Amino acid sequence: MKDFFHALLVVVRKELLYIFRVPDVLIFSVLIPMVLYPVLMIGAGVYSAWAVANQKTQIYKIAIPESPSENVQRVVAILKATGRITPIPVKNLDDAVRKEKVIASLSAAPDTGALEVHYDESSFQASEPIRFIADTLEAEEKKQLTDTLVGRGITKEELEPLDVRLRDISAMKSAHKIPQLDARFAETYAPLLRFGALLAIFFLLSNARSSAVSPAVFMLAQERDLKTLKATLSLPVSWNTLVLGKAVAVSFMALLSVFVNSIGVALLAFFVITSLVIRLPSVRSTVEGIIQSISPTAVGLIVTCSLLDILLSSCLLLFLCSLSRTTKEAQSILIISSLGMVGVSIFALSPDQALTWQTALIPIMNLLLVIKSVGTETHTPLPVFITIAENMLLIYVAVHLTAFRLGQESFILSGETHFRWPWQRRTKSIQSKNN
Amino acid sequence: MTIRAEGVKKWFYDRKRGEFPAVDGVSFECKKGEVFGLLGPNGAGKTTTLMIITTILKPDAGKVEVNGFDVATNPESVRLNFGFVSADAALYDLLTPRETLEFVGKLSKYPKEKLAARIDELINLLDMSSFADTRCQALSTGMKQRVAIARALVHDPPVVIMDEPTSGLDVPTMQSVYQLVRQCREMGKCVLFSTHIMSEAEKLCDRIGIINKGKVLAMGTLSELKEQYAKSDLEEIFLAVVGGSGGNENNGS
Repeated sequence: MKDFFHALLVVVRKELLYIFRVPDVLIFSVLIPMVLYPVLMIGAGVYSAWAVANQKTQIYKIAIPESPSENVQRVVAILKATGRITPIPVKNLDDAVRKEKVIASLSAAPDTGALEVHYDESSFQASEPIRFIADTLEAEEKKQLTDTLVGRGITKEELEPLDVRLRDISAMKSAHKIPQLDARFAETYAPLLRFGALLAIFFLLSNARSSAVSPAVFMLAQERDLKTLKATLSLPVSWNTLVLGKAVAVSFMALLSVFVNSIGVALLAFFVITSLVIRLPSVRSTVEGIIQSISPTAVGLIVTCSLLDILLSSCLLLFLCSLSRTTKEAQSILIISSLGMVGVSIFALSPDQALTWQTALIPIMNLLLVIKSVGTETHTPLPVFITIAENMLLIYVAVHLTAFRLGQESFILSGETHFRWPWQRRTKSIQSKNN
Repeated sequence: MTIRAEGVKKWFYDRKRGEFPAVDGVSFECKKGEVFGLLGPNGAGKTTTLMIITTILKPDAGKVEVNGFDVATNPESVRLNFGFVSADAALYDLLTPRETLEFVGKLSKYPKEKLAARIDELINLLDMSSFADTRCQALSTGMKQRVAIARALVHDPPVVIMDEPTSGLDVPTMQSVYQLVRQCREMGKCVLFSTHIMSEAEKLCDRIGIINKGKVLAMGTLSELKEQYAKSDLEEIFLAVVGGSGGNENNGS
């Protein structure tokens, strides 16, 4: 085992030493992402900040009674202070909402004095001011509003699609105090932010897979073209170790690219979250809540599965590379394959897809599902175990198949002799001899 | 016996001809402290034979042993027991000669504490000091070939396999290669030397096997061959053996 790791490290070191001196690989795997993606991310972040700021200028009109009660006046004062809501005193509140003169109305119930928000359920725009109204409410008012809405036959579940966010404004106002996430709040904001995080991870993984293409082609197909393959194959090391060493080196390059790109993603996340926090301070607590909800075990599982997935992708790319006859063919196969891997993992983004023992059996896709389930603390040990075990098994198989393929003369002597299919072996020459 | 090949066969495929034998029942032995020359025209099957011995290709039939290890069943042990020099040097262009030697030395489990000294020794022996830390892409053909030879010797293997190591070299570099082959013999190594240059085989080889169309047609010391074919020099013997037809059209050179 010690000898195996020693040989593996020597191969990895050599491959990295070599690949870091190849300008093309460095340019495509490291330098371009290092420059391009952060610029794109900063650009996207600045744009989203600008879009949010621009959206802030959009002012929503809400109807209030001509003679509002004290609690309505207090809420209206807060709403006005946001600069986003213009209260318009009207006689008939319901009529104003129905005729779409305003987006919603705010009033106090004549009997209990509880705050009421009326809006047209079919109006998509209604959610925006309602969120503002809801964000402005005190805890007691929030309860009252919920009770009122529920009392009017609207179930709590029905409130969700309407995007009504209710929170304790006073808790949010304290600068350093992080409010506890209440269940409703977590149910509304958290999935959105979790999806955003998943999307970022998907982007990084896709990038890792595409970044692995160039080193994989260089380490296998191009080595044959440079005529160093025969010398490499005669080195005192097993071909399995040689292939695994190359795969680890390819994975390292992919991880390097992920690291470079994660800076861009972090910048994007920073800008997006910051701009959201400006508009909705409650996002901050959601983000912090998500971060707090991720346990060290979850991080460990995500890191393990991610490393195995990237190593598996590298092994698969090397195997596909070994099927090619020329470097150009290898490039084409690998680009299509990496796109295919991205395509497979896209399915994991669907909200309907969850980690089960069946979905855990789908390689490449299962990593995102693991991250999804671990992130929401809904994972069960069996599918995660299946994912890890399957990835390790596939790495083993891919390494052995690639090593086997390296030993075939159709790969080693590609360009020197013709490729032959199994049915072309022996039989054809015997037939021609007989003829 | 350090290299023993018995009835080795390898078939290649050609669209025109279908399958054809690149190596067709090759048998020979090479002992410790001996330089065995595999002499043949281009396309005779020399390189294919060497690729089988160096475990790069698997034989379709027959048996090859290097230092007692079978190439088919124990290729990793075989690879620890030889150093291979190919005609085209086949160096990693972006590594320096020193890095190349370190890589092979470490892989071959050469004692870590002695490796640096061994590399320096080879650098001095092959007069590589002036370019030991220059990337191989900047080296001349002769320099590259010296690096390739050093790479084959860095782990001090009992067997050295050389496939036309002087191809493309100038006369002084060729002489230094010859000198090195002789040194290997003096050190008790078994040297398998493939060439198509008669004078080279005549000067260096203790025994010669003449190969053509994948078959070893004649084998023995130079004097034995001279006696057997009643010819005065190797070129005449060679022409007598291969029938003046030169090389075949096999790709499996």
